[in-house]
Formats: sequence, C-alpha cells, structure tokens
Amino acid sequence: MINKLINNRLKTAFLMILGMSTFLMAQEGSVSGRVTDAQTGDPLVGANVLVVGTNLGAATDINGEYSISRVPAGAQRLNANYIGFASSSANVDIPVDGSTTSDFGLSVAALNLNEVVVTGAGTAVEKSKIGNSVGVVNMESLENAPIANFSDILQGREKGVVMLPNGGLNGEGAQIRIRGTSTLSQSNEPVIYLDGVRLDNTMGASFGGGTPSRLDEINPDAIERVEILKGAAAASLYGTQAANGIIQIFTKQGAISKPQFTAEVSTSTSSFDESRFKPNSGFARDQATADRMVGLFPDYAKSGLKPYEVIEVPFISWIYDKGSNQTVSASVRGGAPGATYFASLRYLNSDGPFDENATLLGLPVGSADPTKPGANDNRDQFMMSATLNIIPTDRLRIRLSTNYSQTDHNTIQNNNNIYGTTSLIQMGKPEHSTATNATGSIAFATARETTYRSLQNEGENTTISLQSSYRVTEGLNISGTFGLNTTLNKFTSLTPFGYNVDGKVASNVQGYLGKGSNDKKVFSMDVKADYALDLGGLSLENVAGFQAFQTIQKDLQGSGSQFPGPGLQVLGALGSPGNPYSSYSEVIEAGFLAQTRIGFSDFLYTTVGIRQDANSAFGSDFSTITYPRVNVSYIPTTHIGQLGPVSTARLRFAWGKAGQQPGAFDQFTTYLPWASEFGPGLAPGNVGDPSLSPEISTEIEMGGEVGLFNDKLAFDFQYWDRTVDDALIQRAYPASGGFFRTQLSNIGGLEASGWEVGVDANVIRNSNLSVDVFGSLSYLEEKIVSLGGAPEQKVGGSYPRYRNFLTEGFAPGTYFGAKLNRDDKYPIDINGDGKSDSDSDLLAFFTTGGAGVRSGWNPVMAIPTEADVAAGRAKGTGSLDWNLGKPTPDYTSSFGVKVNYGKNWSVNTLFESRFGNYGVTNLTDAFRKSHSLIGRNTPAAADNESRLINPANAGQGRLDAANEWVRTHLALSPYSGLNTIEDASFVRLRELSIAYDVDATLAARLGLNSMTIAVSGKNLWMSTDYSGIDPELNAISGNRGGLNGFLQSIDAFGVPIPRIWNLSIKVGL
Amino acid sequence: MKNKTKLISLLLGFTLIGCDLDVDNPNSLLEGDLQDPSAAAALANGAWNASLRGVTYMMMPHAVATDESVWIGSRDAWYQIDKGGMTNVYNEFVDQAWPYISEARWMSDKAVEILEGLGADLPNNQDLVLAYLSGAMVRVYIADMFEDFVYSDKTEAGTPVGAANMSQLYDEALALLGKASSIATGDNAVKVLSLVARARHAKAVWGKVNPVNTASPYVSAGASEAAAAAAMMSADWKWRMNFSSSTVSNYMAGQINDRQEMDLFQNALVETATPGAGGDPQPNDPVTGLPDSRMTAIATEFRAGGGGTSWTPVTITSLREMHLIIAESKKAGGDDAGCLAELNALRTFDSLDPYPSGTDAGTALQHERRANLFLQSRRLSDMYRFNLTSTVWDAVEKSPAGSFFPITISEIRSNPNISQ
Repeated sequence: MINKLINNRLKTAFLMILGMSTFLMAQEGSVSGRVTDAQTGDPLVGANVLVVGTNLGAATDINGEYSISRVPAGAQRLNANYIGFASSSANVDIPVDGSTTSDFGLSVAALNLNEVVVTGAGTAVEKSKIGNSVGVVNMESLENAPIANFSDILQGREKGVVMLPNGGLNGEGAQIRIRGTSTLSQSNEPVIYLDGVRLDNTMGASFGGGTPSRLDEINPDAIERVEILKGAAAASLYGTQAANGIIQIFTKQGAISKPQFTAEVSTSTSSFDESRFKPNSGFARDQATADRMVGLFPDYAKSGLKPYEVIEVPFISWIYDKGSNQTVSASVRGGAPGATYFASLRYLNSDGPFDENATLLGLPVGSADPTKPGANDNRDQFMMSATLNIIPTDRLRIRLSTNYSQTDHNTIQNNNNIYGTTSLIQMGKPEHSTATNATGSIAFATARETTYRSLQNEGENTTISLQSSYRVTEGLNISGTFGLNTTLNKFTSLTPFGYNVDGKVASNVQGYLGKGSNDKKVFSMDVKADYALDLGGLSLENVAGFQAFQTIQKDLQGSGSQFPGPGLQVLGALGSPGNPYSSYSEVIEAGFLAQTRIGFSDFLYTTVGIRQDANSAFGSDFSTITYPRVNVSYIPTTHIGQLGPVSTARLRFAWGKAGQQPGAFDQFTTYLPWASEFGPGLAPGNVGDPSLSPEISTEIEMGGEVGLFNDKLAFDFQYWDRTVDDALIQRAYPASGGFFRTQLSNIGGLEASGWEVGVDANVIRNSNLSVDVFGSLSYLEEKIVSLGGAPEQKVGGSYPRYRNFLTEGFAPGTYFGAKLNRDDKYPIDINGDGKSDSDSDLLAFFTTGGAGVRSGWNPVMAIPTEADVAAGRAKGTGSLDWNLGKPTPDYTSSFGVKVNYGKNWSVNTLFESRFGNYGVTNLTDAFRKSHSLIGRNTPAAADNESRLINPANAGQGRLDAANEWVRTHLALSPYSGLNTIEDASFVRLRELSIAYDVDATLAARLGLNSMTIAVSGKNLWMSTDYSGIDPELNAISGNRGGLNGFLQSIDAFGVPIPRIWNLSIKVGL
Repeated sequence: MKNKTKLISLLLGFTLIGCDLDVDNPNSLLEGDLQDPSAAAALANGAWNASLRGVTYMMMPHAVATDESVWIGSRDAWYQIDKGGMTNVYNEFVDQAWPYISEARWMSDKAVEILEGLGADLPNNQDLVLAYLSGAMVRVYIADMFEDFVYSDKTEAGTPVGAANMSQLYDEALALLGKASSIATGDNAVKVLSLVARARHAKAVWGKVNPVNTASPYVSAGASEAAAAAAMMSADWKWRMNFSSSTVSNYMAGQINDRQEMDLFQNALVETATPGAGGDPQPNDPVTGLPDSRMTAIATEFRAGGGGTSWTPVTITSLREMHLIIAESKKAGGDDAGCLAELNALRTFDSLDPYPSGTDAGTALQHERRANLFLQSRRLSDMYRFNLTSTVWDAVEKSPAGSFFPITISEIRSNPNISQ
C-alpha cells in the first residue's frame, strides 16, 4: 500500500519537477571573481565558491578565478572556502541577464565558523549560526591519504567517532560508534545518508569469516565531504532512528568548465605484524615424540631433544605473506551554463596476506590444490558514480546522482571458529604434528583442511538520488529529495566434496553448500519548504517539511550437505538439503518537521525545531511521537570585538530529542514455522509486547570555539550529556515459560556523558613551509541506570568466555568474571573445600602427585564481599561477579601533523590512541595459555606446564609451577575472565603519507595538467602493553543491534589490522 | 502567479496525504491463529520437535558426565562435566540446554491445552496423543537428569518444583499417558504403554538415587506394564526420535560426529597426549570377553549419523528395555535366576551366549543395562545406584553421588522466585 503510495509520489514529484521547467521564466545572471590568500595575495587554486542555499558553485582555476552562471537574480550570499583557510561569505546582488564580481581574500585559519553545513540544520547554513556541533570531513584534505574505503575516511577524523573493525582480514568491515552506546538493544550504528538518501548500513553475511560492510561499497573517490551529527541534540530533525547520530555523505559535483579528467593508479602491499602471534610451543612426554618433533621441525628442534624440553615453531608464518592491491580510478568533471556533470569510475583488486600458494610441511593449502576449490582472501570491487546538475531556469535546480558498486569478496574462515584457518593453527601444538597434520591440531580438522572451506560475498549497491529545489519567490524555496538505495548481498559458504584431505575432519566430508541473499530497498522522500526573512537586525529562517522512508528487506537462504561427487557447487546437487529459509520485513517511517532560526544581528542565533514521527513498528494503536530541539549560538567576538589575543570566540548550547525504533514485528506474540517428521510444526517465537514505542534519547550539548592570534591557533570543546528514557531492553523472561527469546520492552534507562576537545594550530606558514598540527581528545562515561526490573544480560548467551554484561549501575558491556585469591601464598586447594591449603600439605601433595594442571588440585578464587559490591568492585557476591573493567576506553584521541614544503612536498600523519580503563578480552591467549587440549602452546604456558608435569620437578618445583600456573596461565571456564582481560591502551600510527606534486611545467611537458606521486602507509606502528593479537579486534562481526552488538573489544582468533604501504600516481588531464 | 499557486498546492497536497502504516508479516503466526483447528497438527508436531531438540541437548552433558562419552574438543566447560562436576549453575552446556528443554515442556503443555480444548473440532485425535507423548516423554527425561525444575508460563515466573519433589514429574507423565492410552491407536498405543513402563521404573530408580542407595539399588516398578508392552511389540521393537537435515538435528550426534567435541569410549589421541583424560575404554562382554558387540553396534550406528553426522536416531523405549525392567524386577524380588533368564532372553537378540549359571545376577543386570541402553541417558543414575565410577572423574571436581544438573544461571537471573 505505502509502497505504491511512495512510488506514486516519487513519480508524481519527478514529473512535476520536469514539468516546472516548461512554464517557469528564467530570471538569472552570473557572478565571477578571484580567490586569493589574504596574506600573500597568491591565487588559491581549487577553492570552492558556493551560492548558499543552491547547488550552484565553482572551483577556482590556476589563476584563482571562478565564474558561476545562471545564478538566480537578486540578493544572494556567496561562500568561498579552501582547506586550511577561514571561509568567507559575501552578499551580492545578481543582476537579471547581467553579471557582477565578488573577490575573496581568505586568511589562513585553524578555525572556520563560516563553513557551510547542511545536515540537521534544515537548510544550508554557516556553522556559526547553529548551536550544535557538526563534524565535517573534507575529502580535499585527504587528497594523498591512504583511503581505500569509506571506513578509512571516518577513522580518526572526528572527535567521538570510533571505528570498530571486526578483524584484519582483507575486506573485513568496521562498525561505527558515535559517543558510545545510545541503545541497549537496537543498532548503535548511525544512520547514513548519501546525497539525502538513506542507505542500508548493515554488514554482509559472515559464516565465520571476515565480514564486509555495506558502507565500504560507497565509492570514496566520489565523496566531496562528510558531515557528522553526533546525537539527539543535533539530529532531532531526523526523528526516530536518529539517536545514534547521522552521517551524511555528499558526492562531488560538476563545474562549469571544459572536461577535466583525473586518473589515479595505486598499488599497495598489506601484511600482518607476525610478531603479534606467539610461536606455537610444546614439548614431548616421551622420547619417541621428541624424536618425531626433531624430524618434522629440524629448524626449531635441536637434535637430541628430550622430553619436557619446549620448542617453538612459528606455524602462522607458513600461511601468510604480503598481500597486494591495485586500484585504478578515473573521473571527469565539467559542464556548461545550465548543466554540469561529474563522473567517477574505480576498480580495486585486492589479494590479502593469506598465501594461496602456501604449503604445510610440503602439502599445498586448498587454493593451491587443483583438484578442488579452496579459499582465498581476495576482493574485487567496481564502483561507478555520476552526478548531473541541471539548471533549467533561474528558479529550478535539479540534481541527479547515482552510485553503483559491485563487490566480490572472498575470504577464508577465521575468528572464533573451530574451522578458522588462523584459529586452528593457533590451537596447534608441535608435539601433535605429523606429516599430514603439520600444525598439530588435536581436534576438529587440520589447518590445511580448513583452507578448502571458502566464503564468498557478492554485493551490489545502487543509490539513486534526485534532488530538486525551486525558488518560489524571494526568500521562499521548496526542495525535495527522492531516492532509492538498493542492496543485494549474495553469500556462499562452500565446503567441497572430499575436502578431508588429511583424514582428520569429520564435518561434512561429502561437502556443504550454503547460499543466501539479502535484498534490501530503502525508499526515501524528503520535501521541505524554507523561508528566510531579513528584518534588519533580526533575521528569520524557517523550514517545514515531510519525510518518509520505506524499508523492505527480503532474505532467502538454502543450505545442505552431501554432494554425490567432486566439483558440484549447486544446491540441487545436495543429498541432504536443509530447510530453505526466507523472510520479509517492511518498515515505514513518516514524519513532519518544522524549525525556525532567529538571528539577532550577526552574533546571536536561536533555533527551535520539532519533529513529529509515526512508524509502522509501533502498531496501529500508536499515533505519533514528538522530538523537539533548541539550540543557541553566541559569538561574543562578533558582538563586542576581539578580546586580546582571542580573535574568534563562540559559545553554543543545544538540546534535543531523538529516537530509536524496535524491529518491524517485535510487538507481536509469534509462533515460528518448524518442519517436523510428521509435517509442519510450530515453535514459540516472540512473547510479544503490544505497548512497544520508541526509546527516547535526550541530549544536551554545550561548548564553543576559541580562535587565537587571528585564528592561527584554535580550540574547540564541548560537553554533552545524554539520557535514554523508555530504553528498549531485550528482557529475558524465564525460559521455563516456554519463550526463550528475549522480548523488547520500553523499561530501561541509560545515561552517558562526555567531553571533546580539539586543537588546530598553524605553527609555521610561509611561502616555503607550512606546518599545521592537530589533536583531539574525547572522554566517554556511560552507565546503565535501569533495566526496568529485567534481569541483567550476559552478552554472548551461555558462552562463558565472553564476559561482557549489561548490568545496572555499570557501563554497557562491562566485564565480570573470576579473580584469583592472590593474597594467599599458594591459592591452591587439594581437598575440595575451596580454600588454600597449607604449605606443608601442598608440598607433600606435589611431591607425590599433582603432575598436571588441575590434576587433583584446583585454584582458589577470591569471593567478593558486600563491601566490594558497594564499592563497585563487584556486581554480586558470586565468584564470577568481579568487575574486570570495560571494553570502551575512557579516552580516545587522534593527533598528527601536516607539513607542506615548497610547492611540491607534503607530509601528513595521523595517530590514534585509546586509553583509560580500557580492557580487551584476550580470548586467543586464554585458550592458548590454559586449554588442556588445544592450548598450553604459548612459549610461557608450555614451559610452565612442562615444569608441572616433569617428574624431575616433583616437590617444591612442581608446587611453584602450579602457583605460577594459577597466577599467570589459568583461564577459561569455570574461572572465566581470570588472566584474560588485559589493559589494551594503545597509540597507533594510523596514517602516514608523503606526496610530491610534480612541477606544473614538467607535468605539462608530459601532456598533463597536474601530477602527484604519493607514498603512504596505514597502521605502520603501534605502541601497547597489550600482549594479544591486536587491541582493536572485536567479535561483533555482522551484528547490528541485539546483545551481541556488545561483543566489543574481544580478541578471539582474529588477525591483526594489517600494515599497508601504498604507492599512487595521480594525474590531471 | 497562477502557476505558482498551483505548484504550491500540489506540493503541500503531496506531502500531507496520510500514511497507512500497517505492514504485512508473512513470517510467523500470531497467538490467535493457534485456536484454529487446522493448526492442531502443527502444534503437536511443534511440541514433538521441541522435545527432540530439548532432550538431545541434555543427553550430551549427561553422556559426558558418565563413562559413555569423553570430551576431546575446545569448549572447556565440558571439562568440568567430564570430571564429574554436575552442579555448576554457570555451566554453559547445561545453561544452553535449559531453554530448549523448558520450551519442550511448555510447548507440549500448550499443545495439550489447545488440542484438548478443541474437543470435537480436533481433526485427528492422534495429534493429541502425540502431544501427550511429548509432554510425558520430556518430563521423564527432565526428572531423570535435573536436580530441580521450574514451570513458568510465558512471562509469569513459576516457582521451582523442589529437589525433593522431582518425582512428581513422573506422576505428571503418567497422568498424561493415562489420557493418551484411552485414545491411542496402532503403534501409538505401544509407545504409550512402553513409556508408562519406563516412567514407573524411572520413578523408582529416582527413589534409589535421592538419596543414593547403593545397598539396595534394584527396583521392581514398571514390570507389569513392561510385560504388557513387550507382548505388543515386534522383534527388537524400538520407539525412536528421528532426525533429519530438514527437521531437527540430534545435538549429541552433531557434537560427537560432526564437530568432534566429544568421543565415545576412550579417545586414543587424547589419552596419549594427556594420560587419564582420554575416557573410559569400551567394556568387554562378560561372557565373550570381547568388546561388547551391542555397544559396538550402537556406536557404529551412532557414528553413521543417520545418513549424515547429526541425525542419528535416539531410542526412547524398546523391547530390550522392557526385558531389562522385567529382569530388574525379578532381581529386586530376589529371583536371581529369573533375572538371568530374562537377560539371557535379551542376549538372544544379538546371538550372544547366555550367562553361565551361577553368574551374579546383579553384575549381569548392570552390564546388560549399560550395553543395551548405551547412549539413551540411563547411565548416570545407574552409576550412582550401582556405585560405579568413571576413569575421568576427578576427586576435587566430582560432585557428590546423586547430583544431577541444576536449574541454570539464565533461569536464575530471569526468575525472581529463584535465588542462587
């Protein structure tokens, strides 16, 4: 019904807009001028001049000159901007069929309050007029940065915005968190818009490998800038769904000029820091095994190896080498009065560090075996973007933009997965190795067998946006955005027939195939009218509008096992097909918005707005919900003039509400279909809650900006405070009631607050050298105020090794687990009473027995007291109730320097840091240290266990070894959390780039307008005390919302974030 | 100006049209749909499915806790169970099974309630028999395996039955079977009667392990029903849970055959790597002195996986068990010769030589139960009442004899009527 309605509206609007041009008369003129450096008078090449409130604009040429034609006649406001300089605005009067000039002299500045933003503001407006913060990432400033995808654009750029990668496999996506957690049950991802059209921002299917992100299907070459709203105070006008913040991507536009071509070729290598992997270590218990180890690993085991002597073999280095990536891209922009265009093509071919030609003790991995398909970690991506701006009359602007991408993503199985190749290798022990089980797997499969299990994602992502604006009369405009984002994600998990090449694996040896698709369409419609009125010292900017979104998702999946023979890869060939699966969901959101901004002179602005929303997820009884906002911006330096060295000062305050909605069918009591041997069956689904409504996030933000010494040194700061009422909690009712799935209910409360400070400074600026430094620091504090009577929730279900909890009084995801009773000299129990036994009893015991971990003895755990609970050191008095820290750091920081030397050289760095009460679950090493069958294979753990077992060590030596074991290596169930959660503070060199702009005359000799050669790197260096693989790993995988969205800061058999070196050559034609 | 007015009117009209926010949900049925008689079969089938899933999720920890299966994989919470530690409310595998076995109980009762309520509108009363069988079967397994249990209803939290009262679940099962017997036809009638025999026997065994009575471990209950049921059964009759790729998987089979997290009997690789941790060896037949062929056959069928890895059928009741119940009744009644005769009759199923006269009937019964009921979740109570041990059980980790699985942490957290 609504689908037809929206489609009909889209068609109607489109026809209407096309029709307008036929009966509207042209009333237009042109403006031109020059943009220069106010200090030196040098022309600024590539500066942008925009007609505020329109899509009109132009970039300056090599002489700093610009020209904009077909500008609506009458009073207009121009805004000139250039990276590193303060934007400047000017009012001009455009004569009908005539032209005027307007020159701009821009000053170097680290503070730019005149920058024009759009997102959440109702209309295009200078930052100085709005009281909330808006983060802006300009792609111009990242010209030579190693940007491979959209995630790279956001990483470390904006205060309070954190990227959470799942792992370091080629193409693995990242999740985005803005100012921490704003919902305990729904997705914490911000809503993403591309040219006004809402995007699908889910992740691809995982199946236990590297999970790609839909957002990395956006063409980074087509992006001009990104605007970021960080919460409800700024995003109220987006209503329900906006509580996590808004990210809006603006694509590049054309310019009135002859066609300007650019082309770029880059090649890069990626590799893992293999020093992060501890070598697989072990020892023999008898001489025959020791001799076999020597035979298998002559490079690592000396001849004459004896039982209990530990050897170390770096198995992981056998399957990884350097990955290689090639990117080719090209774009063209140009246009004539009345129409401009921009188009971009990009192709990426990426082969990750997994060595598809690797051998394990001489036997090839799956991808090198010609007899069966094997896994690889490669990614091919084709992207295409095009924008057409049409100005049929002086009153009507039409912009049509399209973005399309096709991604083919292949990966090996990995992460917390017994068939993960890296995972299984890390579980191997040299003493179990044989010629056909090179890495010593004791269980599940050989590492080589897992390399036959391939995962594939194919993604198509298309966005079409039609934006139009019509100037009805002086000051009154009507604008509309109509668009569609459609994503089709097809995924395959293939285990080929007969992949048990080493005779170890038993699972699906006749093959397995899983295929599925997620087809998602998001229709967007946004119609607004704005009216501006200037009453001398008082100005009014009003906007009112309507938005509607329809999201339809269709999922389809089939799987099964047992191919009749090799080579088959289709579902129809399966001898044991599973149940096919399909699902359908539809959500409709609609809302009205109205806002007015009152300006007093040019130093005080107050904005009042409201959003009224309805949503299909709340049922037919629910009417609408209101999200108000207020913000104030005051610029004292404009009001009373410069204050000593303070050249610019601005204070701001913002308050607003936004929401989060439950899923489409969460309100209902449902029963799910379930096939049985006797025919169709039913199983309990949701227990239901018909009173569901959105959770409401209320945010206050106050802060400001200070510019010193003519804005050469700038600070910005803000404090924010967020309260989430009626928080949607996934309430667990007693499973004994038959419905074990959690039910969403509006019963919780969540609080968070924080502050963000930033500094930008032009340290040196002369004709030969400029040095700019920047830095930011964000602080985050969160607390679950109430779960509304619902029980605390353990993230990861019954899986005890994930220790993240949602518990009242603590930050979301706080770790709780076991602590050893370290006060006792020997926290070891040999008689089962749970208490440490005497030195003499222990010595006697370990003299005659105890030859093995927990062999007739157990550790003694500390038990929290009520005083510990009162002090927040524990959540209860159970042995697993100790507060072990939290997965989100108190502080995140980024900083760096930008250096330009001469006219040719530029160097940019970006560092990122996270620290302060920041713990990561080192589950990889918990297994590797403690596990009796698949672990105890780190060098230290193997050495410790050998001393514990070795008969020669009986007595005090064995007792000491047991004591070391419980204090250092004991982990996992039933002592979950012990010796597992580590401080993970780190500083990382995220980006380094060195670029050389070839001299224009030389470039001209080559027939080029410009040429830049850049060498850049990502993640080249890290400083951390964290002992695991990488402190940035997360087990969140493809989760968007739900409890498993809090599987944060868990290092579980992932691979490190890769180091990347990139060489690129970019030319302009 | 006229055109401008028209345009504004169009745009305003366009934006102000009201939206219909009703959307379709083709994915699931709603509560009200269940009262339709056409849903009766689906309810009963769902209850049966839920019971299969719930039971096999519990069968795995039960087997690991005994000498039937040994942990050889990665998920370390099996370690504690393997070592005989039964009572940890946090144990992930019992906690993981709790929702499923609870769902099975609730769904069976829901199916019974709705199908009984349909009265004459019930299209096929054998669907109601299936619901009764599900409810009774799941109660027997729960009472066999859990120290305590809770009945709640949707969001209404119930109170624990109480460890001392767990035998009432057998009574409830028998009450359901009583209703079933009045309408069951064909093979369903045999299933009902065999389950009555088993429930009566199991209740009596429960009395021998709560508290543990190793001095007088044998029971006589269920023998008459077993005899009646046996009379109705064909040769080597078995009532089984059936699994497939398109319905429900056998969790225990998946863990042993597919994932290889556990193994049957002793695992040589683990035993070599960590002496003492590899599990209990397969026992020999007391008469032949060779590895017991019944267990070999059951293990072979189990590993065949029902045509895959995870679809091995599970025997619920069998003619063999009827013989064992009858034999035990004779032993409990002091008729050792009668007991051996019954056991020898059972051994003819597999063409095994009879026990020589003079064989200790108790020892023979214990072995025959172990061999014939292998992987049917009867073992833990037998180990307790017959004072048997596993080579893997650890002195410090082992729970006291008579311990069964607890109400787990997920229920404790969500049920205000339970304190830890």
